[in-house]
Amino acid sequence: MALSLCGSAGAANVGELACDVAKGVAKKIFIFNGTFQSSDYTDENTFFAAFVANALLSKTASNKVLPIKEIQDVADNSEADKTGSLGLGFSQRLVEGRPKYTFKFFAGADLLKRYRTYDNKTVRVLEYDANGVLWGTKSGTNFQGYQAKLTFSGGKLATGQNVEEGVVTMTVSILSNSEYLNNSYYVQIDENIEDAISLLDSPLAYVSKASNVYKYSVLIPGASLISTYNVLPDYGTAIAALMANFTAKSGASAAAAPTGTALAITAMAYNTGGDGLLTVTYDPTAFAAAGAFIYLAGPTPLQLNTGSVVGIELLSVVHAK
Amino acid sequence: MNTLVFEGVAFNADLAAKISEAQFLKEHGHHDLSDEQLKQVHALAMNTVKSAPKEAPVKPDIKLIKEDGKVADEKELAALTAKPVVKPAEQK
Repeated sequence: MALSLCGSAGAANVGELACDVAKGVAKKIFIFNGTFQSSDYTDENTFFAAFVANALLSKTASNKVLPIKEIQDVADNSEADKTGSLGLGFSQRLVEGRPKYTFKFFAGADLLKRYRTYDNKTVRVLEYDANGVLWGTKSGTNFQGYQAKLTFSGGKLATGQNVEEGVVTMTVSILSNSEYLNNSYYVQIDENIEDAISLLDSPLAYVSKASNVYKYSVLIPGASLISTYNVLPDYGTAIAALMANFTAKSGASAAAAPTGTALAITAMAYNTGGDGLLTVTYDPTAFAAAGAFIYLAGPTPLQLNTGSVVGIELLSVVHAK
Repeated sequence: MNTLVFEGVAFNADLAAKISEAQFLKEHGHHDLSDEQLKQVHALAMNTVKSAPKEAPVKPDIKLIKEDGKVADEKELAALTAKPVVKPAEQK
């Protein structure tokens, strides 16, 4: 009988399940700093519904899922293990290297600016592979992303020797082998992963007023010097129809307005008089009593999506009355 | 909030129904709608709010336990909590 402490030292049996799942070729990365609780992953459909819904959260929500574009090139740049050896030939791993990947995907100047806001940031990421499996880790019963530091680069002139135009390079440096190697968990996704969509920041901005009738623009900021993208010609009427989901408040200062007194909206229309703007009419009585600053917040991305306004997040505005 | 969307213009029907037609015309004349259309919207708002299901009145949570230990039923409670009828003073 062998004398061994292995069993009591946490060693596992080493049997293998049929059809065991391994990580496939990288396809997508999702920035996800939140958690999926056990009630979110009771089955695959429940998980996928929660996953898609989280992509439609506001960017300020802790459980927001941010999909990065589909990977077109992948390189494993993991740090090699450091080894040491003794004079007679024994070699041993001294320090285990940590995984690091370099991904390439397509993004123009606009999107690169948005990705660069995550440059050199430590976040959590979920991996989705070409076999349709989503990978992450667990803390207690919560499913979450791996801790990773991201960098984004690109936007350089092409040389005409390789596919370089519009190619953005992202590196993902994994922080914890404990999470990544010892505690990886997966969920098979049979639905279309592209159902989890990316949103565009679309700020409401005050343009003009005539007593209690205000005009607002919704322009997506980008890299174009001459023109920002105007959302309203596409979605203005649909946004106005979601008037019930708008919130207006007023306060004595800009800081107080978002938590100030409610200001009722009586009507909303797009392109009144052919100006291409959103016209918001405030209740005259409430407006007369309103504070010096007005806060206007639009519907949530989910409400917009339900109202056929797809792919944007309306950002609130505070302006002088 | 009940919202009426008329020719692409969204109206807060609840607020519209609270004001007179003249007031509504005055407040919403800046939209690309004629007075006739605005009158139509106001009438629709009135009908929308009228036909909206009203919430059941909230009953106060009052329970009266009588001297004999029995709980007074609704009829008894109503009789006890009714305002006293003050008879007008007899004219001299």
